[in-house]
Amino acid sequence: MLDKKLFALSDEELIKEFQDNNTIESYEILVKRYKDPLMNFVYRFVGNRDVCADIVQDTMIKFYLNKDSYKSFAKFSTWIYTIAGNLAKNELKRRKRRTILSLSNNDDDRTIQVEDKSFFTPEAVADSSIKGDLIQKALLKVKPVYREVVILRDIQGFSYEEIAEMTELSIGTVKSRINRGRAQLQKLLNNVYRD
Amino acid sequence: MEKKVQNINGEDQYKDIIKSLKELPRVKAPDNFELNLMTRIHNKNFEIERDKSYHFTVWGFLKPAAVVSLTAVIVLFVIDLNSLDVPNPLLTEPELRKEVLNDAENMTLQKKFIAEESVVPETKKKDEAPRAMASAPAVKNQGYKVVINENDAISKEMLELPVDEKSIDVDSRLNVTPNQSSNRAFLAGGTGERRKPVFDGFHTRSLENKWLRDSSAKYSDSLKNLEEK
Repeated sequence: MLDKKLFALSDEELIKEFQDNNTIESYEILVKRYKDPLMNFVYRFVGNRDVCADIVQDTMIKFYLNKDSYKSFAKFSTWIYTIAGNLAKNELKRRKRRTILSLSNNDDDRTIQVEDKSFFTPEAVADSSIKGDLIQKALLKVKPVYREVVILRDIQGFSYEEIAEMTELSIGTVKSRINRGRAQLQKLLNNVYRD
Repeated sequence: MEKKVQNINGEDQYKDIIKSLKELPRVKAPDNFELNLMTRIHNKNFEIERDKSYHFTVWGFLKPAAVVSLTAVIVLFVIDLNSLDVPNPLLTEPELRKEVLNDAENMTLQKKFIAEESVVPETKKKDEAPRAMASAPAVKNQGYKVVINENDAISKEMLELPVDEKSIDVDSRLNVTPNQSSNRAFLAGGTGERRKPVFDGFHTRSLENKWLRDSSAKYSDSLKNLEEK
């Protein structure tokens, strides 16, 4: 009965319940609602399924530990996406540092294979799974600052205002970054769309 | 109006990209995601492993450099120790021998000895002619005698040679003139003066062995007694 009642509540009501009464069921419902969208967002941003599962778990742990830092005037989704985005960015920074320290120079990470016509025939490119892989690879080549907003806008479907709130940027900057990100992506995927 | 807004945001320009991004397959959380999460919360395992494993510290950054530097210092120290020229007492030559070899460079000890004997004043060299050895000017010719001591150390002693020359032709010296045949003994003795050379026996530089001397005397006395009988 309590669960049914809780399921009917909005995100903001659930977190209020969790904050006020420490109702673990509210927390579990929020986890259920956001685990998949966050997983999708973090995977598109980081590109590694195992790492992204860890990041989303850490996001949920942070949410559990810092529930009182959420302020009711904000949307819960923007708050939780901000946490996930920050953890994902930290992961990228860690990777970059590790690459510098290990002095490895893996050219595979820099080269995009999408322009290799002999490798991907037009028929193959038409296949959605291959196309999806190509887009994901291209997306990972886009600068992280542009990538984040493009994912939030075009994959997760957030409004410019919400993205501005999540990223603590002005709406104008968000729009500009989204356009730059799309332009980079189109340049990288030029061959796919030409065919 | 809506179209105009889309154009301002540049969404028309990238409609293919936007469409492709929207059609990307959705990634879902693993099945055990919630179970793992609630287990962590129940066990109060809130530590973020990745933060711990990749935590950046100045010491962590400098550690490889410190190890390399320390290794380099140790290696240099060992090499430096090896390079120290510690003389091996078993390989070093006796001091005197070294001196002799240095002086004569490639000459052998025997050659050196001859060379030292052959030191003759320049004035003597000019007058040197195929004349009789006996009539040679009485220039004191000095040489050296190599003495091997009991402790195997080699030393040299000044020696006054019996002849003036460093080398002599014995035949020419003895057969100078028939009239001088009576002087042959003196000539052979190497003295320019008319003084008969006296042979006073062989001398050894080793200390006299009293026991050996006594036993030799006893042995010679017993032989004499035996002959008398």
